[in-house]
Amino acid sequence: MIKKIIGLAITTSLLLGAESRQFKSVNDISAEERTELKAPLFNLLNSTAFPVFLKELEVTLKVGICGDELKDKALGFRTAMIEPYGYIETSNKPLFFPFAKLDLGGNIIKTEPARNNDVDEAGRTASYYTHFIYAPILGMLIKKQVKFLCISGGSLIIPVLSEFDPTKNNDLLSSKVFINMVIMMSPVTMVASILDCGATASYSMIKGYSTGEIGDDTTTWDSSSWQDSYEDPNNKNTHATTMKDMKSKGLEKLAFIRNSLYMNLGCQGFFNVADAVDGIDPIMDASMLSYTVASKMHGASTISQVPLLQKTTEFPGYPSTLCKPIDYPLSGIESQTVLNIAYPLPGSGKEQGEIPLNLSSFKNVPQSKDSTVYVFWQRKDILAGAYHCKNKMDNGGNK
Amino acid sequence: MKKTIISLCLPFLLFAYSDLGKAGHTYPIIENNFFDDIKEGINNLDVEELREQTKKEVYKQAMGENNLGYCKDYKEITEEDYVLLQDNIYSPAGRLFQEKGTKMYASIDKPLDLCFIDGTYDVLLENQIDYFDRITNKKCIYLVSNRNIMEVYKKYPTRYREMFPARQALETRFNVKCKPTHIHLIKNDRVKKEHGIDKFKQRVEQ
Repeated sequence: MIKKIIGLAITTSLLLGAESRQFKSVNDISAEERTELKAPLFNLLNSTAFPVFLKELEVTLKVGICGDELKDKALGFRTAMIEPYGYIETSNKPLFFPFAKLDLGGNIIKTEPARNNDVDEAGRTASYYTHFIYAPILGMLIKKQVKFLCISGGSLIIPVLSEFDPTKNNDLLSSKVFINMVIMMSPVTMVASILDCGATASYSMIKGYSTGEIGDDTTTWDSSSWQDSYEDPNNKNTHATTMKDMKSKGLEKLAFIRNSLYMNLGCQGFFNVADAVDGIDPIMDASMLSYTVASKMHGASTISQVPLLQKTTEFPGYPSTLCKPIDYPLSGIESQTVLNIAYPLPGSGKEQGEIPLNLSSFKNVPQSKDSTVYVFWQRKDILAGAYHCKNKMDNGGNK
Repeated sequence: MKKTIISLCLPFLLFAYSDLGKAGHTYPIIENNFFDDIKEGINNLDVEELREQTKKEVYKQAMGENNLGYCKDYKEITEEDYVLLQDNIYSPAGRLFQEKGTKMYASIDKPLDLCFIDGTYDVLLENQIDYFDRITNKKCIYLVSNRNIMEVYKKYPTRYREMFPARQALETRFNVKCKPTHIHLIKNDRVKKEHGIDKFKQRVEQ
């Protein structure tokens, strides 16, 4: 009995000793043990979900032709891919860039009240500054020629800085500038929002993304369970080639539902055109704002000198983008983008419109000052080898 | 004893294998592992240069674009304010929701004023702001061209939510042809008032 008590005491002291180290000074704490948050630019390997690129890259043997004149015609292979296009970040501190740990001051511009403390308010007092940074990460890292896939290249550009955006927090001006977005507010779109939520979650399941998991994506897609969910029970078909067709048709249908009425951010419902958020959870607010930024960039593409975001994915009934991207002002085209959170802590890729991660998914990181950075991944359907690989952003933003 | 010897020899049977040799041509894998390429790229990346690029980009964003010439004389034009739908929009049921080419209006009773002004030098900037503040009762949103907006904020420190760098996107959206132009939006109308630049060039006597 005494031996057992002594053994228990030794075990307990060892365990407690392992958990609670005593530090004599700050200098005793190693770099890994410090709670300082790593800026994504200094933590590229962990903050960018590179497995997403490998997971989605699919080069097929379906050929197509690009080129208008006979002498320009080129043969290409139908390819689906995704690449990290840049960063979307939010912060309540003006001219603060958490992606690069850069604080450019901003005493002139006031810090925004990111958290909404007054529960009786309509949630309009909370606000963030949002930035979109075009940073073609793969193109910057892989210097070898990958022209076959037309991986985006060029230098860093910042097309969206809400500190200098007159539509930020101005509903009236936003409604006038982005009329094509506001027109979507109707009972039809409210119903579509519910469909969109279901479609988004299913789409994500089909693509095999895990939810709420930090680090590698290990969930794999189970074709039989998907088949049971989506096929007509009167028309079951277990043939291997037909299953592949059903998968591609299913994905087209889901993409159509998600892209047809883009004011709905899936399970998050309507988003506020003028960037205000409810201020309860900064991580969720950042997810909503990232969609707002992307939608504005699509909307401004047709009238802006700087080609912001364009349609780069295929779905039926809309102009093809297999040979070159097109200005497409009406849609955020949610199924075109995937976000992976990079700051305050890295996380796996999630479809836009899924129930986002929130503060409770992470350990408490007060040093982040309610700043969030997402890596913005953009899908592309191209004819590899024949694609008009002239990323207009590469020319310093001139068309 | 026999049972002990047999059980000790069991692993040799379980892990026995035979080399079946090689068939056909084989080629060494010369391509690098993707993640090794990524790690090499990260090691060679000049992060400080990227931070410098970020600072330059912010400065560039803070500068108002200079796309418009000066207005010569006063002109007032009233136009319909709308945006043309670029493509068909379909409902999830597959029905046509809005047709391509439809005129889209944001008909709002509350008025909105936008002032596209030039910020090349201080006197010009201040005169335009004084003038448009008077006629709009300080309700104008200013789009300042040819000037770093942070310098404007230093002059007008409480008005950073009213003054912004000029952008071609907004000039095109509201059909602005020259500066300074005052745009008054009410319901479906766009009242465009172009002002001759000369009256703003000199310091105005109080």
